Amino acid sequence: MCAQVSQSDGKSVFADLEEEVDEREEISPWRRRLRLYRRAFAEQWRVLRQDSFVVVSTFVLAFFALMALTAPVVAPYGQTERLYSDDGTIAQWEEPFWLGGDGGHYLGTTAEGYDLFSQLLYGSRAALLVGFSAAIFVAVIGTAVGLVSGYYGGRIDDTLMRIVDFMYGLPLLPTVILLVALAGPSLFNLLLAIIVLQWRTTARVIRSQALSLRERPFVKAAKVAGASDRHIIARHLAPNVLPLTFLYGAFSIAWAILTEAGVAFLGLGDPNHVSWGTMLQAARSYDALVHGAWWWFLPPGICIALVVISGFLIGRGYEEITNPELQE
Amino acid sequence: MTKQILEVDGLKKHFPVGEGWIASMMRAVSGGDQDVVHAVDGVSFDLLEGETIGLAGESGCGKTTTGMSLVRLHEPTDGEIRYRGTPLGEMDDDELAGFRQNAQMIFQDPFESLNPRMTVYDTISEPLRIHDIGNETARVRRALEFAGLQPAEQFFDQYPHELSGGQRQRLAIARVIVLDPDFIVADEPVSMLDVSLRAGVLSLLERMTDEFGLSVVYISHDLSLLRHMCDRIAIMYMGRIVEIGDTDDVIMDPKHPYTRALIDAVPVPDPKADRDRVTLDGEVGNAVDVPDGCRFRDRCPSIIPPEDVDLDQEVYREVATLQRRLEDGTLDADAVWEAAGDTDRSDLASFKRELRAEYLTGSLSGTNEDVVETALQQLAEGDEDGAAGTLAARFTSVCERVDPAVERRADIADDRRVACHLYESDGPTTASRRGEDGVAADD
Repeated sequence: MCAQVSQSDGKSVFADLEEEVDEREEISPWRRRLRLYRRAFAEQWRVLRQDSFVVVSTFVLAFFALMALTAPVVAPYGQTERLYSDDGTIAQWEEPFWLGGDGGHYLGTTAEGYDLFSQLLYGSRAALLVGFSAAIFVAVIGTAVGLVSGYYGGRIDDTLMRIVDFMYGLPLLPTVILLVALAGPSLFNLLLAIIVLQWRTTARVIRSQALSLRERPFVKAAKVAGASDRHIIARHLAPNVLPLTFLYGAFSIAWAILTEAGVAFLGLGDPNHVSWGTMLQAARSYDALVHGAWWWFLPPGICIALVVISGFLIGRGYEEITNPELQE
Repeated sequence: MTKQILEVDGLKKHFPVGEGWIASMMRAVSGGDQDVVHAVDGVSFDLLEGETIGLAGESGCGKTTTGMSLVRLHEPTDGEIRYRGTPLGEMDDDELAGFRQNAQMIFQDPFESLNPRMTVYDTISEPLRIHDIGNETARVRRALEFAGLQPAEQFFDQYPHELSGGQRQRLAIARVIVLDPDFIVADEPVSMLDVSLRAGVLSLLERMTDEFGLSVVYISHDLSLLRHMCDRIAIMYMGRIVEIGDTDDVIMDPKHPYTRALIDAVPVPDPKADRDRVTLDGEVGNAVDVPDGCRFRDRCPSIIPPEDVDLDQEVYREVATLQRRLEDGTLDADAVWEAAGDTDRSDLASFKRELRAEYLTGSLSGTNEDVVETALQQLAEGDEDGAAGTLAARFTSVCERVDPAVERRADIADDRRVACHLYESDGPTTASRRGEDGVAADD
């Protein structure tokens, strides 16, 4: 109920509303919100759909996501399951069956007798796990730091931005290598390293947006209405930087996957999980190129390229939403 | 209806001028004061319950800063604003919440004052949620209908960009009235709207003022609008109120020379209208380095000569301009020498002739002529400071020496306050001043 008492001599046009609260009249906030979100989503998808690159990229990412989810079911062998030929020797350097190889392997086997097709399927899990987790954390941390820094300004801004400056001083790959070397090579440590090094860009960009947003009259109007700082950041600043957050999230998917592949290629990948990067690294160390075993290093390379390009293309398509001037 | 809802007492708001860190370190070492923009520099007025007051003035005179201070968007540098007797700066959380609920602001630009990512419903219900007021939907609907956005349901899920300019400003007004406030600052509420929409929004504002019993501060440069909307009007110049009084008194019979110039600048839709216009030269002065004395004196068409200087107003202004240019160093002696066609600076007579041609077209005589001649001689010899001193000793006006207070004047009958030496001070301590253009009575 309402506790407000009008001080202007009862002249309020709301005077008769103090008493009756008709519950049926009240709009359910949840249903409203859901409807609005659906509308916004449909609207954005409509814009995105106009760009055929974005549609294709979305399907590519969906395909790889499906691949990651169904890997244990689809893969004929385990990711590090050693295979033997009928005569009891390790089934190494098998060609794909469609090149006349024995054992009916789709993509042949490695020098250690692992099934390449199964490794490729399992490898998508590491890539997508690193890609999407990094994107989410980078977007959330970067946006939070950027908003707080830009909105409050002053000393808080200085402190946070000096931390970001420090982060900018760290070179990406050497730092990841150092962190992984210190904390041990596992997917989780790699993810942590990528997040630590990636949120800085998002924070910078979001901060500059928050700096300009906080001077906008609608923020002043909210202040006059009595809104707290938290309310203003959550309800007025955050929704207005959300498209940028998505944009940088989409880009960091690609960056994270590239970094993971790069680090794995250098031999610092998680030894318990096959990723496309570790596949490439194995191919290099067994000189697959010299042996002409292109079916070993080409498929993981193409997969990495496809996922990364898709991430960038979706990000690029999303720019049209964040920057309406790009729309025709 | 005589209770004061708001008392503004000596309000000052200064903004520090941005400076680099080297400059700021140098200042810390030398111990100087930082430069500040004197956006609002001593404004006092009362707002009575149910009263509408208009703040008028040129761009940059501090009217918007004053308005924002009234709803506590700025912390005053000095002075005090009291809402129903409680100073804004000393409110506790409950009092502040009550103030936030009762004091609202309408902004100039309806495109910027609405969050582009909030629907109409969310925009209006936001203040209700902040203050935890129930019966949300019914109130939102009532506010929208009052603001003329009907049927209200149709607008609930629309975003600001789907509305027209007039509808947006109506939405902004609905957001303000949904809290049932008793005091509103309206900052140029219709200046961004098409002329065809203004009348509708203005009549909505009038209806709002009447039905809610609101006290309103209108901020505008549009005197005809303020005349239409306001009970009282305050004219601001360089962060100060120069004249405040009943709207009709001020508009029909402006006393301060600046008010007169503003009113003369209002266009009259009659090309044949015969009007005796006062027009102003120059720009609003420097708000960082504010002059002593009257802030309007450099542009004032009625600047007061010292008592024994008997000069035409025009001639006096020429001398005063010359003096001012010497004092602030904007007189370019090199250019005058060049115009005199004598770059090795030997022909003093032609330099003085050129200077007179440029600055002193009126005729001088007697002591005035002697003093000016002495000053020009000094200037020709390169002694700018000496020339300025010579002129100052004779021609310095009271407007330059004494800062006029905004106060009741004995020779103005109605209830208004004017900051100008042309009028007799009501105060017991002030000596009599001479009026020169017949407006002020001379005793």
